Amino acid sequence: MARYLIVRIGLGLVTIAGVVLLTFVLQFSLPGDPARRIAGPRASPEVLATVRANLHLDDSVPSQLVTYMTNVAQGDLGVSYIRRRPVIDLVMERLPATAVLAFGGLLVEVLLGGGLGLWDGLRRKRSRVLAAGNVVLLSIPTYSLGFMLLVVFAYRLDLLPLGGGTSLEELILPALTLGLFGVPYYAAVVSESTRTALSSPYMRTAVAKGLPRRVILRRHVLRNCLSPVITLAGLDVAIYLSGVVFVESVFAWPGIGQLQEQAYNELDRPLLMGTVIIAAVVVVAFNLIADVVRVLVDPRARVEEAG
Amino acid sequence: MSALLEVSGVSVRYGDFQAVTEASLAVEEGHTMAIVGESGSGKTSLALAVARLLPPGGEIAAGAVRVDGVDVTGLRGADLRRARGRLVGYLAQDSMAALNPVLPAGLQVAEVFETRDGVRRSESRRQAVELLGQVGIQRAAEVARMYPHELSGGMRQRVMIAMALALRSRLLIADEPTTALDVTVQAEILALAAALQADHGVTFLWITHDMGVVAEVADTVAVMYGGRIVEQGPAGEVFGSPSHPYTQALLETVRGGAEAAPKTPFATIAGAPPAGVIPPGCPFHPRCAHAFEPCPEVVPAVVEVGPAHGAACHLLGAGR
Amino acid sequence: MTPPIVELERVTKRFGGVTAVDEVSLALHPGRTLGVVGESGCGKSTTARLIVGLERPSAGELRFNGAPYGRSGRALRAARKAIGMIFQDPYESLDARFTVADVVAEPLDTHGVRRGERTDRVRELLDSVGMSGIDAGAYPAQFSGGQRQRIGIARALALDPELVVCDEPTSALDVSVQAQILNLLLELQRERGVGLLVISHDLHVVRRMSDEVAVMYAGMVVEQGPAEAVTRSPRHPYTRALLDAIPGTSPAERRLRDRPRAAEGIASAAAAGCPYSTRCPLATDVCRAEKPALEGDDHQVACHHADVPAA
Repeated sequence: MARYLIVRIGLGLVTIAGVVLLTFVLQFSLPGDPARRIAGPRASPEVLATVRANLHLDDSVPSQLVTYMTNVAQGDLGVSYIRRRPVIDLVMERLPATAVLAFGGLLVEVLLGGGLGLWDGLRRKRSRVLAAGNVVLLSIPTYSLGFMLLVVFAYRLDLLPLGGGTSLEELILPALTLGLFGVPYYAAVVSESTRTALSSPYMRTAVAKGLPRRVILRRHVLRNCLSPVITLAGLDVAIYLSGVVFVESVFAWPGIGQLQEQAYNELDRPLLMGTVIIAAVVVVAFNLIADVVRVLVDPRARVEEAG
Repeated sequence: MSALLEVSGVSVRYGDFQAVTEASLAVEEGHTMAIVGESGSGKTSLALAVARLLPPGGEIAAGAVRVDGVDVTGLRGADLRRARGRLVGYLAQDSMAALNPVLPAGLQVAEVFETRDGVRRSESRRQAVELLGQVGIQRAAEVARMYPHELSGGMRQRVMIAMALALRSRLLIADEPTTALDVTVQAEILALAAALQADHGVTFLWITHDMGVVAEVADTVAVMYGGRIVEQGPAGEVFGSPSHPYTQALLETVRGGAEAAPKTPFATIAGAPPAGVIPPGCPFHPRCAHAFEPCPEVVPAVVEVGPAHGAACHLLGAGR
Repeated sequence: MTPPIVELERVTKRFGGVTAVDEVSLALHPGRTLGVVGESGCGKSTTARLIVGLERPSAGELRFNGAPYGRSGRALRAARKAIGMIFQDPYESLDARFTVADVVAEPLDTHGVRRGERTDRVRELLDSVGMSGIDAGAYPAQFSGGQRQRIGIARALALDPELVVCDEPTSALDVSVQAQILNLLLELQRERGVGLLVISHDLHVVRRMSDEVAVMYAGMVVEQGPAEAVTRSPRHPYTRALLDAIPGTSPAERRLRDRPRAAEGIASAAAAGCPYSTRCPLATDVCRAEKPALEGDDHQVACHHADVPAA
């Protein structure tokens, strides 16, 4: 187990390093001269030169890369051009909001998706209504769904606020939008696992023991569904925590995703790069956590992972 | 005194296919009846029917099953659930598939105690470990924490037996429990079963295709072929005076084994057991060396050939 | 005795940290049958696969008509042509998408037999296994287990092999059909003089089919010799345990009720020494320390306490 963890962490670090490298390279494709963005359009050549020297912009590319990677490794993601504050601070400020949204979205998709999946799995024949609904949900783009919900519930029906803050009321619609996307996946996975469990020989044993339906469902069906759900949830948490740009922007949710969008619009290079790198770190970290949890929950996975 | 298990004229169908036709048998309390047959004989379907564990699509199309005086044939819902375990327990063949892979072995035994006796978790765990020890598992506490895939086939089968014992069922249906096991492990399990019967008075309905196993465990035997019981009686009688040609042929193949010289031909029955379509009349007639006029057309009635010993064969009819 | 077709000399096969076959030496002669008996995990199937060339040995030598063939390409090809194999599961070992004719003719096609002769040869082979009347254009799924096994035998005979390896040829078949297949194998040996390797967990089957018997445990041959001698007067405690475990033939002759009941523990591999020492009632310190070698003339045994009667 320990060996497995070390290998995974090592691979994760390699991934992150790769992302940093790629981000660094891609920054050169962004328009705009960093020095000018910081100093302003009216700055004199001397000021520009000073700024360039401060930012090491005249160093060779490899040397800039080394500087950058060393900084990142120490947690220094640079200073935002526009807001003039350390990127890492800006991101950390926004993290709680994104985390709340992520949790909300996860709750919706696991409970709603899992619930629908369980219902479908227990039926004799698969529900066509659910299948059709899944296709619809998979096909709608996030922002369309978000806007539609916003228009219907907040604007027309005036049931919910239009957003901008982070209150519980304001959480409902974005969490729903985020979660509805995941519902088809969870529903499909749970439905399939449930059917497999119900038709398996150990189900016959459980029935033969005269166990109450409740116990059979909880212990013999749901436990066997956990493994795939955890895998999905791990992936989702990773993605959500790295900032879901579309949902956050539609609902003006003050999270990392919104920050990312602003950084892009403002061509704020360090901020943009910083958010990407943080996203990579989060994704890698949560994938690892999900794998560890899965191994703890499903004993068979231990054998597979051990090789 | 009525028998613990009474099966009267039971037929089992899966849609259009009739797996068991008019099977009748009785098992006394504390005894073991072996149902022996090859593939297509219907023995598994009959066992599942008695246990009320037929898969969706299967049904008891006719007849009745009474366990300890209770007619279990038509039970549904909560009544059925209460009857399960308490009246009839089921021991499956493939212990790997029959145990939940994500639950520790001990828990799968302990939950029986929790459900039936409402016992708390720590107590049920303790009882489970004790039971695992009784079925011959060393270091039972350790094994109780292990998962099915970590245990050997023999250990898993012992866990299944412990589960069955925990249920304290009146009748235990053992569905080929040793077929997938090595011969030395099988011997252990058979000895264990004999000991359990001696100590706890367990009543067994033992399904098998192996006449050697029948010889070891059975007080009474029912031989099945093509969905019908073709011979039935006390084990000593059936082995000593087999009256149905199929039984005779089966015993030949087994007996020859121990004595014959090497590289001499084995005793054999021509043809193969029916798969899918069961021949009309006597199901064995296409393979029977003694088949004559009535065999392909008329299903033979059971003829008494000894005390509590009957066989369904035209050769045994009046005038023979 | 004629020289062996296939010889194994201290052949070992390791998979990762597990030694599946441990310095096994065997010889297979024309017209004679070697039976290999042992329980699951003893290495008998791996040995069969080594002989047929489906696995390469980790150590030791395999010889075909005197020439080593375990590893080299050309010798292996020559050996493969002369060795046929029958598998345990007739439901899995025939490709469901091939017609019966395709299945039987596959070895012919692989080794370049001309198309024109193919049909006749297939017909001939099917006749020789008692499947004369069948439609060779049908698919395996339409046949019973016993019939499929016959098709497998026909395939094994396609290139007129000198040796046929049978890995549990009847275990997956109904009892009443098993005898038919075994009789067929005996007959084919009489007619063609092929050598047979019969692997089984069933001691009675092995005894009746074989001239010589080898008993395997945990990858080692623990006892080897004439079939009657090994199966009637075993010298190794494991062989005795196998014999003791066989059920009786009638209720009057029950054997298993009063056997001493051993509790079953989690299997632990014996680190050194005899692999059977963890289960053996006769095990002593020397057994746990030193792996015994096969000793004897005709009837060999690998045991520090061979021939000691159990208490």
